[in-house]
Amino acid sequence: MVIRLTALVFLMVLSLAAGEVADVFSVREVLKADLKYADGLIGDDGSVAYSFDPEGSLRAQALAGSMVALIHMGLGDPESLELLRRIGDAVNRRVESEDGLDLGFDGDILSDVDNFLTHTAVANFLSEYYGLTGDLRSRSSMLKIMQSLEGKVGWSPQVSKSSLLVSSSRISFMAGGGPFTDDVAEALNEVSNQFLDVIEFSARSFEGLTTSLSHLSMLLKASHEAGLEPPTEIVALWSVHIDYVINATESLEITGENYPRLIMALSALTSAAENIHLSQSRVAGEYAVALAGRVAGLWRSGDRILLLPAGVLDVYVFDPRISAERLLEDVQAGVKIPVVDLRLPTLLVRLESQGFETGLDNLISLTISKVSLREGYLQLVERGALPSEEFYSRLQRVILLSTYLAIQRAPTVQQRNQLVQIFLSSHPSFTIFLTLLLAVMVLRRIGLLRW
Amino acid sequence: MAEPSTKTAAALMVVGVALSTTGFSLEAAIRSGLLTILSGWIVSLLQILQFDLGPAVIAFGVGWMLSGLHPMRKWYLYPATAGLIISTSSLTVSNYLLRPEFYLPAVVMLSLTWAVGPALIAAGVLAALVVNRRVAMTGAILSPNPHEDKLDVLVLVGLYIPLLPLAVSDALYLRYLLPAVITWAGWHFLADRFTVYLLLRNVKHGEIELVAAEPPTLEETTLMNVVSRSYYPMAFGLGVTTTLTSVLDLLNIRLFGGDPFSATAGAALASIAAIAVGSLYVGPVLWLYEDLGVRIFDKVRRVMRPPSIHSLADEMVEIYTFIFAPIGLTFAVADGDLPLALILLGLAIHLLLTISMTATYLYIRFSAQRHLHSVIRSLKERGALTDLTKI
Repeated sequence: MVIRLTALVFLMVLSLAAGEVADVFSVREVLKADLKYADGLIGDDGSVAYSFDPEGSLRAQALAGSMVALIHMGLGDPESLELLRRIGDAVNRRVESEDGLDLGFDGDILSDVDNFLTHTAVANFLSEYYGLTGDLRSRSSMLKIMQSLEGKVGWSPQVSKSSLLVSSSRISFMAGGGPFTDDVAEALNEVSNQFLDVIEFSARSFEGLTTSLSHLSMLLKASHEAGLEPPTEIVALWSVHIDYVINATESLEITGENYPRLIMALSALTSAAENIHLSQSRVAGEYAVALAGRVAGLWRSGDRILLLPAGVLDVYVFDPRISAERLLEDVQAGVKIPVVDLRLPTLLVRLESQGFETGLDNLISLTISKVSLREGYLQLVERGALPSEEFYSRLQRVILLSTYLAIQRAPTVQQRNQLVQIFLSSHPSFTIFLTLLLAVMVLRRIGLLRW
Repeated sequence: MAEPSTKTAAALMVVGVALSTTGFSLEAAIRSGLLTILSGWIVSLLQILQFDLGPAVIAFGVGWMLSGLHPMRKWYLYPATAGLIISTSSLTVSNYLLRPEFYLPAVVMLSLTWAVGPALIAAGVLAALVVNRRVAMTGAILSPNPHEDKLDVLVLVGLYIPLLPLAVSDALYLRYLLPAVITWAGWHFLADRFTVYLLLRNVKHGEIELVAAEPPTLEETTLMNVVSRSYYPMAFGLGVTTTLTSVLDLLNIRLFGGDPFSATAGAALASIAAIAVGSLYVGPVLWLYEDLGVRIFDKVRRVMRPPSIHSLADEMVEIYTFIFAPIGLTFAVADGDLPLALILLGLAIHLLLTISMTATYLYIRFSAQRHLHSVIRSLKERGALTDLTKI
């Protein structure tokens, strides 16, 4: 049992001294509005509303669930939890009876691409749900799904049980819970065993390289949070990846065309920079800050946020009504979709929270104030580009705002949970004495205890 | 049993030792394989016996015994003060110790902070209750404690100890020391003049007369005196702020934004401002009213009453404001999270009590006596004070 406690008074005084980037209160209101929207997508039994997806696909259900899960990560309130449980139960039921999903890719109810998309969406949602609630049923469902996916496309850092286990632990930690030590140990074990596969996957492409770095960074961060010592070869592999990603990014020109790759590199380096307990993270963080500064030039002009080309896969996976055929066609045709990409401000928020001065605070507050419309939403793709354009735009804003809120809330929630643990589980006598003293004080003040 | 008896104390200590030993020996038995653990809660129960309940009962016994050694000389003040100092200093030390590699020291520090300290305070308070009831029943008089006027300084030190890690930060000086000094300075320069003004205001109409009914009593800087007096400024500050915030909250105006900690801190800061400004009236003026020995004689109705502050200000320090309004405030700030609300309330009270007590101590120590004389003198100079025999 590791007990940690830092001075609360310290925190309180520091929070007095620190200024706020944006109004947390209005951000919460916006997330509550999105929760209301998400509630409309889901029926009373956790199924998908007809207006959201006429086919009632499991993928749509999981995507709506992800939206609610992220909202809950940011708000931490009982209403979002209630809705989340409703969807979680329904999704688990459907996974268990293979309704809308073909585990093992051996049936013919879904095309392989559809089935693949459903696999990833559901696994992602279940890992979020497991992270936020600790629901073991979801854990076993998500591992089953990953098993099926691995069987189809082979092991890669992205398609692995370790990536899901780490992401659950990470979400739990971000939402103020503890890390899942056993899961993280299992993930460390898995990556150690697949060491050569990671190297091979990274050597394949720029995308592979950045994906591996993201994965390794999150794994190392989760093991640090869980108090586990990762094997030295994994740390060494991570360090090498940072150098490779920086070198590969160096050769990219800062143009709109290269934006999808630039943002991938920035995302990987930001994850790497979050390992502040490892010295190499500084290199990653400093490069990420420099890169963000250059990308920001593409991203906006004055107070206007510009449309930038995003890869089909980065966008279509969030829209349940995109058909598998269209996805395949567009990928093959190399289509790029112009979007207002909220990933950049989200990454900046994460970098800032690790103490890296990006100098782009105004970009963050500009974006937050632009997307924080209490009525309606800010449209992030051109009209007609996506069938579920509103869902896409709202989900992207939820990702940004909930990350922002969770980072703001994290110290408070961690402190609160540690103190509650002290008051209720490890030192109940304090609670008893406090009650006693308060009772004496109140009785004396109201005159029932005179002397 | 009407006074803290040493027998009870000894019995409590034995029970505490027994509880702790049971915890340790059961753990040893489990480790050596003599016993098999059936479920996880037994482990936490053993932890509680070893580091929480056991030490707490022992400490309570020690505090009870100490209070019982010289009950009539208020020895219960010692365990109470010691408890506060132990709690706050071990809390401060544990900031540096709470790492996995220091398991035992960390657990001991937590035990001192959350079990031993509170147990000593509780023992002192309960002993005080028992002794004072006994004294009130028999009509005896408690003798003063030889260290009573030094214990208040110790309590103040205890309140400041958790802030030591902040000694390098400006925030400490801005939020804790500066408000205390400003409040005291305000009281020091204004309290006597304000009191004279308030007393004379009514005399001018000619309906009342000020009567020197008793000789003025001098305030001492004893522990109970400082603690009970600093209650007024603190409660007033809290009352004003929380009432105001609740009203604004009803009107959907957010005065204190941000995360719960900064919102509570913001509200506490507003309370400090209220202490600095408003407490002149509920603090020193009220104390001077009590200590001057002056009565107001109503010439029309032929009744004599002690001078009092306005009833609204009095309401602000009443218990309901003190207990319920802050809870309402922290609920609004903590979004319905009860444990968080209580933690925030504790922090806000620490902040306010520290400031209020510092200012009160400084006032009673350096200003009260002078003010008492200057108020009487200036009332006499204006011929507003009548002798009791002349009515």
